[in-house]
Amino acid sequence: MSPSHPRPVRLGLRWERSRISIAPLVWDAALTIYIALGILYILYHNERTGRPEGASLSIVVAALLIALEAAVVSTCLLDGAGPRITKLALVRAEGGPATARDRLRRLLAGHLMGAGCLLLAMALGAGLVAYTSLGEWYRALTPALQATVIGAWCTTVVVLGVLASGVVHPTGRPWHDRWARTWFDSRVGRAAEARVLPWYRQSVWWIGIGAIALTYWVGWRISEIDVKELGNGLSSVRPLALALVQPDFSILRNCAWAMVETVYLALMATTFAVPLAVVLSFLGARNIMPRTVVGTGVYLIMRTIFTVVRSIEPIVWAIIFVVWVGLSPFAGMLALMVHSVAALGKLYSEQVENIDTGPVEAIRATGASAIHTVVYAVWPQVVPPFVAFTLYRWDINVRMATIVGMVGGGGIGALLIQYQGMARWNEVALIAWLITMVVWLMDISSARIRERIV
Amino acid sequence: MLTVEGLSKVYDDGTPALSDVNLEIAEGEFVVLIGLSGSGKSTLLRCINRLIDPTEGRITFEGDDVTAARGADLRRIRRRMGMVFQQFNLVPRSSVLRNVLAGRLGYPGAPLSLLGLWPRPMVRMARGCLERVGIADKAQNRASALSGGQQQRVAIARALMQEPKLILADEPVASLDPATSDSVMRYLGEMNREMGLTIICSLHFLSLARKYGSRIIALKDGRMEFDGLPSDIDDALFKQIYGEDAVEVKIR
Repeated sequence: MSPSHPRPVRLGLRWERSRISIAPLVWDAALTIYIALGILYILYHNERTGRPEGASLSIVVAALLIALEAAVVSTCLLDGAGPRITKLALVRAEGGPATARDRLRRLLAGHLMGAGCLLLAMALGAGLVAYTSLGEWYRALTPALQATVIGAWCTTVVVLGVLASGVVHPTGRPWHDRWARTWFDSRVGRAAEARVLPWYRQSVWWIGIGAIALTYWVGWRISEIDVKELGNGLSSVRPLALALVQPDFSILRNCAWAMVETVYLALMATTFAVPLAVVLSFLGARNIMPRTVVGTGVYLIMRTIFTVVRSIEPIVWAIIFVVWVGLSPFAGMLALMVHSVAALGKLYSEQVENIDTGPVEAIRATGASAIHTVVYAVWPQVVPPFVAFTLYRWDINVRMATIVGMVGGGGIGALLIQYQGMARWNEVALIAWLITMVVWLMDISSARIRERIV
Repeated sequence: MLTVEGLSKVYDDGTPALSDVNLEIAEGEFVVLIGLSGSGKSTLLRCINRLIDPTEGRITFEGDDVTAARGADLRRIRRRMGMVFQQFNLVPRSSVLRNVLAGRLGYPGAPLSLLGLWPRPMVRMARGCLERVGIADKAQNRASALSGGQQQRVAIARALMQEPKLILADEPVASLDPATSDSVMRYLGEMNREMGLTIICSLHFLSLARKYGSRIIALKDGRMEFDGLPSDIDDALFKQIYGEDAVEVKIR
């Protein structure tokens, strides 16, 4: 190696600050894990459903994805071409940038190396299974787990093999790099940054397309989508459809009362939620809380509470409160209230964070205290959006109250589930129409009011 | 009345905004700050009332150490300095009167101010301040319904409500048209002459600076480049402050 040669870079073993970007490697690993998880799921699904006919196809697709991944990683990705790595470039051992042939050579060398390691892994693995006590453990596993073990074992040996081949050599270059007479250098890579390749030559696109395709394919299988069923089941909804146009008006009186109950339940839930949400939203607003340990702590705690409580659906809260206070509209109200506090708290605090800081600065400059600043500069700015969100929330709560009623939270939902259980479709139809009317009215009126305010 | 010693400010992201600024401002002066955008004018003004904490240096105002003040002490100092902003910084949805009353928030004596209730003498005082800037008839309007010039006058009234000794004006006319600019500056000038308020005002127009200023301080890259009388600013100095390619724009 003559002195003019750029110093080789040990990939992944030495991290030079701001010279080698570690991020693309992490990204790459994440993608690989994602793809592996997809494959595992397919194996699991095939085993569970006992429909192995998809298995061969799954494996072909998975293998293609892995091959694609391996190819891009070993060639253009690390060549400074893709957007994911811009600071490493493939250079020739003699100096100067690598040509297309060099890249091909390195691709072949890399795969040769990988294949060698893979063979080694399989031989070692087979030996371990055949001659040690590990064999019993392995044979006791399900086929899917066996596949996982094989995959993990092979990956480990291949990665360790490639890394080891670099570590043991004094120049730090893996063997396949030396076979290909190329290596990665960080200095040359900077020049490559300016070069923008067309999208189809950027690996990130292909990996992205592959990952999306895999996602939807897995999704299709999980949802057990079966278009044929849509046609087959058509006859069984006939009575339901007929009942829908023949609602039973004899129960109108009862249902109207239940509906009123639902609307009031939603009103109470919203009303009790608002003051709580207002107070908590200020505690959960970054620009209000001081940037001290306590301030940041309170802010983070509030934000976490909002997220967690909001992510639990009202129906789940209703189940909890039905157990707590018994089957009653009160349980439904509590469920809606808790969920509303979190949902409104988050919406409110985002409004607080988005205010114009000018008035805040001006009020602070007058010598006002923190509480005065909030009341005089922040509060007037957030009241209109707060009112708008509150009305919107009431609207949502009326709809939710129906659902909450189904698990014992009172109101129209309870009646609905009762008639549905008895398959009395004409009564169900009346309730459905009633709900539609009320929700529609609420929707229109709250939209009107919100328009006026904001 | 105001002393600035060795004032420096480096923002958290490493941007130096002010370096070693030394000033001595006497009562009754009308100081005009000039300099390019980003030269540190706003930072200097905001350091004086501690909207921004300086990195180094000491500011004293009427014998009080501003830089060391905390909490209630700092608020007591702040209420003696009014501030006027380029974007007016009124609360747009509140009434003009409420905006002006907010200037009194630094003082005790209005226990129900959190509920928006003010004692009658203070409301009278606020109306008086509005009268001074000629918009007493707008007291009940929403601040956002006023024109730019009117809003800036409300902001001046809010500053007056503080009964300040010093007014800090951060480019008070930069978002106004030339005619309105002059009228707003005239109000500041009046307060300086008739009420004896000290004024520190950053401006972009040299013509306004010459007309109203009793002293001009020029900043360049966070350093003081010039400190003297308005009549001392000549072409060479102008180019030194604003760069070789600058041409003076006259408004009138």
